[in-house]
Amino acid sequence: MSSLKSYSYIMILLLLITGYTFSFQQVKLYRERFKRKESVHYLPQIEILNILSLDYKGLVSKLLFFKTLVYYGEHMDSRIMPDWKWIYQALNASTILDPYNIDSYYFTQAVLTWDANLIKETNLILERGEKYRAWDFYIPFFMGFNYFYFLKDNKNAALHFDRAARINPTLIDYAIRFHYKANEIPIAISILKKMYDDIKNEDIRSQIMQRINAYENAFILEKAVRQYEDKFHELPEPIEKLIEEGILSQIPQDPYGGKYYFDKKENIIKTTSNFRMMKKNESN
Amino acid sequence: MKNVLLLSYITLKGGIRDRTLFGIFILALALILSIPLLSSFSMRQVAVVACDFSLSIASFIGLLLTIFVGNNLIAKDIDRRSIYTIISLPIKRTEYLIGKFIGLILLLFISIIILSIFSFIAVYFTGILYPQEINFTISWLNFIIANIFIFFKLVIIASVVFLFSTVATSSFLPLALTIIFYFVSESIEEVKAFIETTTGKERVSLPVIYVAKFVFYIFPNFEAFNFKQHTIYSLSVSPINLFYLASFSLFYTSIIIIIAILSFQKREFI
Repeated sequence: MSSLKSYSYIMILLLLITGYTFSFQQVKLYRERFKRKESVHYLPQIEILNILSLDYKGLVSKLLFFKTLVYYGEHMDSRIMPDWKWIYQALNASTILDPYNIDSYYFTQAVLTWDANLIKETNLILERGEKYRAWDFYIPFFMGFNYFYFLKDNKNAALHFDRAARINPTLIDYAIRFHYKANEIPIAISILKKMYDDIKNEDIRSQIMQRINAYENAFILEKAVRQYEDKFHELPEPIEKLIEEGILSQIPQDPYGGKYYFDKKENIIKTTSNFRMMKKNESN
Repeated sequence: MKNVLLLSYITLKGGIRDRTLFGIFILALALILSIPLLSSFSMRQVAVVACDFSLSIASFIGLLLTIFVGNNLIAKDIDRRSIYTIISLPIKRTEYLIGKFIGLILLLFISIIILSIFSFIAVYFTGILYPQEINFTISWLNFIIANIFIFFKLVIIASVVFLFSTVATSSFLPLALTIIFYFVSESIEEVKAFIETTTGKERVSLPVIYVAKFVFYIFPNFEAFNFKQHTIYSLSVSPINLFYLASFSLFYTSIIIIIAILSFQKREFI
């Protein structure tokens, strides 16, 4: 009697397992069809997300970053254009939740500029990073690069390279060059003079002095060109016209061995040496 | 006093006999195994992500432990009516409450120590596995501070579980109320910040704003107990603020426990 009872239990169990297997298959199919439809990457409003993340803001920030990474990777593999706006929002949310998360800043810089061309948005996110990660020169460096390369804004580029150089002094050369490019030669000279005062090594000091001289000469020419422009309403071409008109008594020498000239396109004094030591054959 | 110590010892032993610590141990092992895998997704800060994971997990497991074990201690006694036997014993009600509370705190303390040792190992080895790490800036002193303040937070939650247990007639109510308490305390700082922004003022109705501001003064701000960012990015922590925070949690816990004792003494069984 009891064996009959246990048999019936086993029968019922087998039936249930069959039913389970069937329903499992159906659920699996339904989910796969659902997922294929795409565009279900919902992102809650950032204020709500911030409140609901409780004690786990850092964790949520990192998970959002991973999710974005996977989403981006999947689309790159299948060569479908990802939803850039969503990526921007996810990375923005990720950096609000954990404003120190370098992964998200790094990824923003890598993807939103080159692929999505969302330069202004990228810089908005990076600005947050600059505020929090005060010790990290990468973020102002990225911003300076974006201003220079994508937005063609040398003035802001110089400003950000300046900030990066304050954290990592090896970047000072970028800052100086961009100030020069942005027609802010006096700023470039003043940074160099400060460096000259700070540095003890004589070799480096003489190198800096050389650069100061080169920039100061360029600045003399720059001022002369502006004077000429005011007087004759045209640019002095060639630059020797400045001597003919008596504005300068002589064209200053480039200490790097190059020759100064006026670049009409960029509206700036340049030199053939590009402010670098010239090789022997270059100067001829 | 002797009764208190005895009771807390029994409570701790009960916790160990419940295999609570064993469960924690298993979880800690899972932690060690999963952290290197999960954090390897990071591009530039593998060890940082590992540390964030492990501290979050410690705080979450601690929360579960506090709520469920704390709830078992008194609410279950009342639910199962074993409280009748206990109050007929020559122990004061205050001693019973404090004894159990200390027992729970000891249990929490041991669990946090186990978890932090294991997460230290996990984070340390993740750091070794990825030596190219450029942002390996974890401050181990802050790691200890973070764990201590996770513990302080859990002590506050434990006291709240006890308070709710003394007024509740079933073991479900303290559980639900404590979870609500945790959610409110953890998010109150963000909510307050939100309602003070212009969009918040536009979207949230005035009574809600007043309630939120009132709640801000009643519930502890658990966001202040969060030292994860300080640990993983080596931010500086001022000792005086730590002292204030520790004294804050001490005062808060004591107040809640005193209210719990008062309510427990007034309570009529039978």
